[in-house]
Amino acid sequence: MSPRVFLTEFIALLDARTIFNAFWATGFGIIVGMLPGLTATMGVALLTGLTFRFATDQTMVILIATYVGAIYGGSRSAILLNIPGTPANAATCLDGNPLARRGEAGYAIGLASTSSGIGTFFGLICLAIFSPLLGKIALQFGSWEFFVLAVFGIVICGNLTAPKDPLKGWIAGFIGLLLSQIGQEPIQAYPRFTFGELQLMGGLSLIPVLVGTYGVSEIIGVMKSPIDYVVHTKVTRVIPSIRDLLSHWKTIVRSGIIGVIVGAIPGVGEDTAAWISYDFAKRFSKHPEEFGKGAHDGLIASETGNNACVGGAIIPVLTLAVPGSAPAAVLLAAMWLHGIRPGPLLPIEQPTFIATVTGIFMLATIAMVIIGLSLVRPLVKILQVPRTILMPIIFVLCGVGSFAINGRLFDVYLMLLFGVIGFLMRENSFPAAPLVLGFILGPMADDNLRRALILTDGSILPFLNRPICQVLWVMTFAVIISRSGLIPAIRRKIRVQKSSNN
Amino acid sequence: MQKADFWAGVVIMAVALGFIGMSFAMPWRSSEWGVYAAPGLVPVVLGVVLFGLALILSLRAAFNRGFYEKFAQSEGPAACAGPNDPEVQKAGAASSMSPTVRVLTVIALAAVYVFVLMGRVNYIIASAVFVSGFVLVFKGASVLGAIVTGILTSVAVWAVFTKVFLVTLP
Repeated sequence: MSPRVFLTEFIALLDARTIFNAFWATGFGIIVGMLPGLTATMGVALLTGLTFRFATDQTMVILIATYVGAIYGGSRSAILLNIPGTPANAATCLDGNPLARRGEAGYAIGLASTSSGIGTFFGLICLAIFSPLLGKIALQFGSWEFFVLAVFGIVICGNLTAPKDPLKGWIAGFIGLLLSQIGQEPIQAYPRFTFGELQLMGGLSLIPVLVGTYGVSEIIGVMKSPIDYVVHTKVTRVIPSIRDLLSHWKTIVRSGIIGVIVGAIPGVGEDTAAWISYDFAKRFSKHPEEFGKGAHDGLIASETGNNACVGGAIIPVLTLAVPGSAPAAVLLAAMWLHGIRPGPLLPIEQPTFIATVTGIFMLATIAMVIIGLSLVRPLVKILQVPRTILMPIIFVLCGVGSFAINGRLFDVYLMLLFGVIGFLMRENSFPAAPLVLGFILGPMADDNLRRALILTDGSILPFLNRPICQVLWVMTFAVIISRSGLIPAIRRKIRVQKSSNN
Repeated sequence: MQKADFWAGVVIMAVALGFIGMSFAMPWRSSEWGVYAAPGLVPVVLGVVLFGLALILSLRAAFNRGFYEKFAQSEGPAACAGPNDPEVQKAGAASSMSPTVRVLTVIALAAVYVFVLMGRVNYIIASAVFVSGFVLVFKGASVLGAIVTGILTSVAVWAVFTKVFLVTLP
């Protein structure tokens, strides 16, 4: 994308209404992200339903600004309360809270705000550069590649979101794939698994499933052990020194790259990006013993990584219609609702859309840094609202958000059902992200597998001999084998053989 | 967790078998493209894979105690605040209920709101009753405080969403 196109689209966004929407949505996102119990996914999903009647461009501004704000907002509670507002900010607790305990809460918040801004900016640069490039590769995708991509997405998402037990991640993914088959299938319009219910003919709606899985399950989880928060630390100086930031430029660049790469992997989100960035920062640090005790590097790494992931997660959304994270999945759903068709044909059908999205990110980044650095004390007060008052209010909003899209109570029932399912999954260590990703990729897998088989009259050879399919299969099996215990078993056998030879 | 995994695997296997069974009951050769366009093809494939994964889960839970011992050992101390940290305090008298009772109460209150009140009673009244009832049951505020919270919430939600967002409420 040429800088002139980007600048033209960015300047076109600078009208009063767009700037107003960007700022209030970013503020809303920061509050959602900041409050433990609310997630970025829930915030974006709620607003997707509520902005259904808005113009498409304003809806994108509101949703992207909320996403950016929410991922940053969680750093506030991570620093002040040692509790991440969203999972993306868990790594921020490690060094953010120790800084707050020694009286540098404001400085930590300032560092987090500017690191998040730099991370988002890095992400949007990569979005601008790599989306058109990946779009060109995506034009080579046929039905075979899209099917194998769906399989790869589930396998890698399950692996990375449940690192200790990927089997549960894969199970969640395949449950999501199966649930997406409910409703009229696209080739023969045959109603599958509807039990004669008219409400199920169109399948299960994505927004109620998302709001239930991420929102209602979180409400139940919070109320299982409701705790209120008291902020003891004083917040003073907020603006960090430029020299301090520049001295960590290597951490910033490294974390930005990690964030974008992790974001581009289907279904894996900002929390993984933050942890990997933090881990690498510690490994490459000259003073790793300072990590966990208030190291600026640690805080900068996690916040740059998780915010760079936002831009990275949008790249596969725009080019392949595959979400890179759960909030990106909601953005994808919102684009579909507003008649935008993300995928390989997007640059052809709507050539300036990618530039517009990049411009919106830029606007949201500016809003995030301004609000993050200026509204420190008022936002701290919001953190102390009792959970027993906040949670029913959030549930009411979840109900409205689920009802708003189709105007039917069935979606609200669905939201509650998936809330209970999501809670039970969480209690038994089944990750929710693969379920949601499977739900989104299911129609793509179904459509493309059958279409591919029809085209080749049942031959599966193209799934194996097309180059992009081969790359995707190799990556898929590499992930499965790496977690199967086969490699450690082979290594053990080689060691035993070597010692018996000696 | 071992026991929970075993039974989770059994339930998931049953669900997978259900999907497979229903898929085989669908027409398989009703179109000119034959079995490749059959509506049950992909659900059968997915059901079989899911059944296999769930079987591995149940078998692992039944026979591989070593995995769960290693899993429990790898659970390190939490990086973030726990219930004894000074920043957190147990919320009011809600802490007198056991966690299971709290979970069931939340689900029951939500079910009453969604299945009984919504769509049958005026939205403002339904939401006010739900929020007030929720706050009262979990003792988050006094009776007056709960009622005021409920009314303010429902009126604010109604006003913002019908007048600003132009959303139709149930």
